[in-house]
Amino acid sequence: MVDISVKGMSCPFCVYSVEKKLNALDGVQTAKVDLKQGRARVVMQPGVPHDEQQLRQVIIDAGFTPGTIGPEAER
Amino acid sequence: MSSEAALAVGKLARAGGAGLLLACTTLAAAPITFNSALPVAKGAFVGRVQAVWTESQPDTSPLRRRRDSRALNSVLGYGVSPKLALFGALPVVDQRLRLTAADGAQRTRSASGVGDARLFARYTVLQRDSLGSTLRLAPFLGVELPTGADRRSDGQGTLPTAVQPGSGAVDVFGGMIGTWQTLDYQMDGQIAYQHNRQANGFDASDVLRADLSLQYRLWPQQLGTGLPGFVYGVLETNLLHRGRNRSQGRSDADSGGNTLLVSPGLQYVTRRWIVEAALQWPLINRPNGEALEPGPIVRGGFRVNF
Repeated sequence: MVDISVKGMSCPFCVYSVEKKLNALDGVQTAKVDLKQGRARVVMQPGVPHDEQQLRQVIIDAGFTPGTIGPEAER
Repeated sequence: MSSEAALAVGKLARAGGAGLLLACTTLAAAPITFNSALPVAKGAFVGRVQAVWTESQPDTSPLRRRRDSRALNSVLGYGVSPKLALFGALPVVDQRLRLTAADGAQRTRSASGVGDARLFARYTVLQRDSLGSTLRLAPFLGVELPTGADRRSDGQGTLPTAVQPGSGAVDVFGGMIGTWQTLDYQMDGQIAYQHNRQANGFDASDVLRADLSLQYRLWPQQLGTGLPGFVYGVLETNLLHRGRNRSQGRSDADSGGNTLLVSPGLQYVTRRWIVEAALQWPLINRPNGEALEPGPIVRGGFRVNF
């Protein structure tokens, strides 16, 4: 499980864009965005490590700015 | 006095939807009466369809002109990159001009069909994101193509320009849109200029406009962990300046002028779609000469992200 801080999100349309792109990534099991916290939580498929650079690029492609990325336990 | 003076009313009605189509970036609520802030992510599409209805103010001139316009404005946007987005827009219009002829007879001239298509690009030059808010600035540049018929005629001859679905000219436009958005509200401001070129001996005046939009989240009042649809109350203003048209090389004193519209509206925003409606009320009308004054504009429609 990885938590990504997403800067610039402010409404449901933003959430859709981010979730859609994260869920389309290979190896991602589910991705959910918490708008109030400005955070995306990504659950990877078992045994698949997350690619931080790839996650950052997805947030940028969705039109936002990635902040800290790391395992939930580290937040 | 020229019936071409009525042209301003129709152009104004299409200004927000597909008329003066202007473009921000991946944001959300977005203004209702102009398209500059339509959100679209890289590799994604956004579509907007709006129905627009308007009728000119009562005419005090001997012609007793009355112009009404109905339009269905469709907009499609695609995110080429996080900063670059391309948009296309196509209106379908039904326009009618009623007037009293010199012999006292009532005459109606009308036409319907596809209007002029608009293509434009928008590029975000400034993006300052923080948790729960963002500031963006984006210039845009586009062209209006003469896809609408501009030489329609009826039993009385060639229709006046005010009724033709298209202008017949290739026009260019550009401007700048700025957006400030937080979890509670969004503000947008744009300034835009359209240079209209001559066709069929008629040169529609250029248009300068300045628009402001405030969208404030009315519901839910407090954000929770879930994500329901949002209801935004919207208040927008549109200030438009038009010069005088030229016909066969001569300036038409009864054309152009200044209009300030105030537009309350509502939006319901979900993850993938938005429904929205607004009433544009002409608070100030300063037409040149006996140009027709724009009346209220009603617009409503939906938007979808895919």
